[in-house]
Amino acid sequence: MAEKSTQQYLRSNDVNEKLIASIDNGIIILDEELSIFYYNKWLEIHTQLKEVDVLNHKIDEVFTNINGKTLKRKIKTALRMETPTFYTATITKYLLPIKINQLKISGFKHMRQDVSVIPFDKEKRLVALIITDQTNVTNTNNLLQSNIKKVQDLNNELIKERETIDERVILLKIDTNNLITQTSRAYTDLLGFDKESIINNDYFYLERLQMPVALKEEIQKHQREKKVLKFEKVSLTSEGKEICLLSTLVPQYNQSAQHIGFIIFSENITNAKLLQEHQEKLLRNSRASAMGEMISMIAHQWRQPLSVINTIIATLKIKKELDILEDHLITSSYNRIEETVSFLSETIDDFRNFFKENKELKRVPMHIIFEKSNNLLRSEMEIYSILYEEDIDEKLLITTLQNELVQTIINILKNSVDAFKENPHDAQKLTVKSYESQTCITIEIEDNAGGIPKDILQKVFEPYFSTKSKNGTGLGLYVCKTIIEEHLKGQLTMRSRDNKTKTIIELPKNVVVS
Amino acid sequence: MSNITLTEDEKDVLQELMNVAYGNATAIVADMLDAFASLSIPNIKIMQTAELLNELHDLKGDSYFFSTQAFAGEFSGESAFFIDNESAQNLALHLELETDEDLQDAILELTNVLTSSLTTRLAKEMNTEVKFSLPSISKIPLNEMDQNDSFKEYSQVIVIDTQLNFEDQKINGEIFILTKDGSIEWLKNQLNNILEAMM
Amino acid sequence: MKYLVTDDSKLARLSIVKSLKAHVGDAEIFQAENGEVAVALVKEHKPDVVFLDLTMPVLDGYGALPLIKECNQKIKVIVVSADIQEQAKTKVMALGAEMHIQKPINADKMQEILELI
Repeated sequence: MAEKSTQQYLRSNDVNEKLIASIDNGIIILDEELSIFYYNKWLEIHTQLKEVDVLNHKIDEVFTNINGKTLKRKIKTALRMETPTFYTATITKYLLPIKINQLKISGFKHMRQDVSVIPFDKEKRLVALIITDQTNVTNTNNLLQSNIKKVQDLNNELIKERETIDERVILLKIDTNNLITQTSRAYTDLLGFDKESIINNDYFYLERLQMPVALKEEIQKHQREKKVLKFEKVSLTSEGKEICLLSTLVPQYNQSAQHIGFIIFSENITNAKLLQEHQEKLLRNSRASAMGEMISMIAHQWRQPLSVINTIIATLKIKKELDILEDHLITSSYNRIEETVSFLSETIDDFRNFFKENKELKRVPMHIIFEKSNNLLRSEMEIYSILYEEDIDEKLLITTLQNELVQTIINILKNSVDAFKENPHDAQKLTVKSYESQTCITIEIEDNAGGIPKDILQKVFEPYFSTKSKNGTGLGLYVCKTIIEEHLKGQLTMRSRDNKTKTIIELPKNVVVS
Repeated sequence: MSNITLTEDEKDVLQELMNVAYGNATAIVADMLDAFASLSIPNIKIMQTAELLNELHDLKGDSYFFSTQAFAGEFSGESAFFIDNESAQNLALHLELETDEDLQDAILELTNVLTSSLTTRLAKEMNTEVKFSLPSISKIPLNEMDQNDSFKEYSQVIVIDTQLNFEDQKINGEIFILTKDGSIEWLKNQLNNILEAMM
Repeated sequence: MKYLVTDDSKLARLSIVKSLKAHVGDAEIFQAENGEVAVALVKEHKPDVVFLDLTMPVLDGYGALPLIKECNQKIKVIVVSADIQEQAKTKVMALGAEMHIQKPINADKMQEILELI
């Protein structure tokens, strides 16, 4: 029969040597008890064991890593079914431990193998194990898997980021025709509009009621030039609430660098704006109250010189009526009046200068700062018998915003004077000191007007805090701190011990003023 | 490909062939596991892939081992075997398997045995032969099944669904034989030949 | 002699009936598509030999077998099943079956069966 002769031909040594020996697979023939009946060349080479050395040995004794029980089960099943059973490289990894020494496959020590257990001879209960090297495939698969994993991780991250952006970033995309193509949830949430009602609308039409013409033109100019623009704008929510947005217009390009529209990122600065307005109001208030206080100081300052003038004029008047007015008296009186009037106008000048907006840094001697501060307070200190001591080097210079610093110092000195008024005693003293270190200039102002209790000391820099029984706006020290720390980048602290209160101003030598 | 349907008679023939083939396969598995399985009547349907996926969703349990093995020949297609986590653990216990790898190997073996013997026998009853490729396994949550490419190949499938049930060992599995297009036509033709020979 | 062929598959019934007819000519042959119908037909027609499938809807072979034997101990029940597990065989023999035959049945097999009973 043709079948038989074919079989005979196939089993001849010739084919065996020519084909089976050179085939790129391992072939083992085993019986049900795992005894080896055949071991091909490929295996001899890869396992470095000769066929003669393994014949009639049990495979799980030759290779102790093999689980004999499992293999027996697979053999039995293959014979029973008359179809093959398998080991797969992806799961079992390998049956025979064959070391690999390829550099490019770094992950595995042993060759990965697919093994088919093929029923070979049902009568003799023999199976053939065909071993295929799957190392490269498995390696590629593993690489692929790890890359897929990476891509998935990245993708997940991206999705998360997109969600975060959608949730947090107030964003609007418009195409080249200014039609809105995309809005973030943050945008629609903030403004309280439905996404659907915004998408495909003209951006400028949507904003027509809230966008000044000048801003519109500015935006359109930047659009034409495809430039980035930052702008501030008030938008109305669906409930009619005003929201202040700081927006950035950014041109958008697709992957082939084609201009496809603009993204408008916005930041809700409504709260920051409110805070800023609030602070401006506070400063305005403090300026008004400072003016009020200073007018009262001027009144103090003027009282004495005015009475001097009054006295001179009255004397002149009486002498004239009695006709005893002498020429030299007229001259000396004129001189004195002139002197006094010039003092009066000086006071007024100081006052006027003080309220002039001057944001220019000036280099001035420190004692001049105090002279200017004291001009308005001197007479009051005399009236209330406050001893004023100053320890300032005449050569000490400071670069600062003069008016702001003077205003602060007046405020602090006035606080001390007011404290003495409320708590008078026999040894009232105000001490002023200023000195420089390497990096900063320190000013110390100390009074012995009774001190400040600890709990109150903590609150003195809060706005609207006041201990004064009348006319105190409470803005004084809060404004002082704002000026020193935010305008002059320095520090203002206050300490109190026994009956003394010391205010310390530290100012940087190299000032960069905002 | 227009929608093919099976007549009641065709279904009956296929069901009976399947019954015989499955009896054979179960006996082999029972031998392999040294256990006794109760046989159930195979359920035969031609359905759209989408329907099949819905059906798979209805399988209980959250996590399944899912293994497939392709077969080729005049009658070609793919067989899929589902076994839930609990059954898989029971299988491991029964076979005294220690590692996850051994378990997966055993599931593959089970798939191979079921599919090979089932399909070989079915093919034999229909006077043809089939060839098998290596089975592959994945452990996937069912909600990701839609993304499984194995099923995307099939627009319309003939599903022969039967239960593997080892009551004492609490091992349950479900076998699907999926075949499509040309094979469905071929199968229909064979079924009619058998039916005619019988009349 | 009267025969009853029980199988849910029409094909299976046809194949048994066909091979049976080849040997017993025009003997009376009844057919049932499940165990319940089979028991009713046993009561009604009192057949001598019953061919019984195991996996069937409504009432399967394991359930029907004792009920059939209950009607008449002398009825010879031949289980014809795809279930060839040893345990299945032992089980039906214990329930009183004459023999357990693997499906499908052809004319040769049928002759053997008929000779044995």
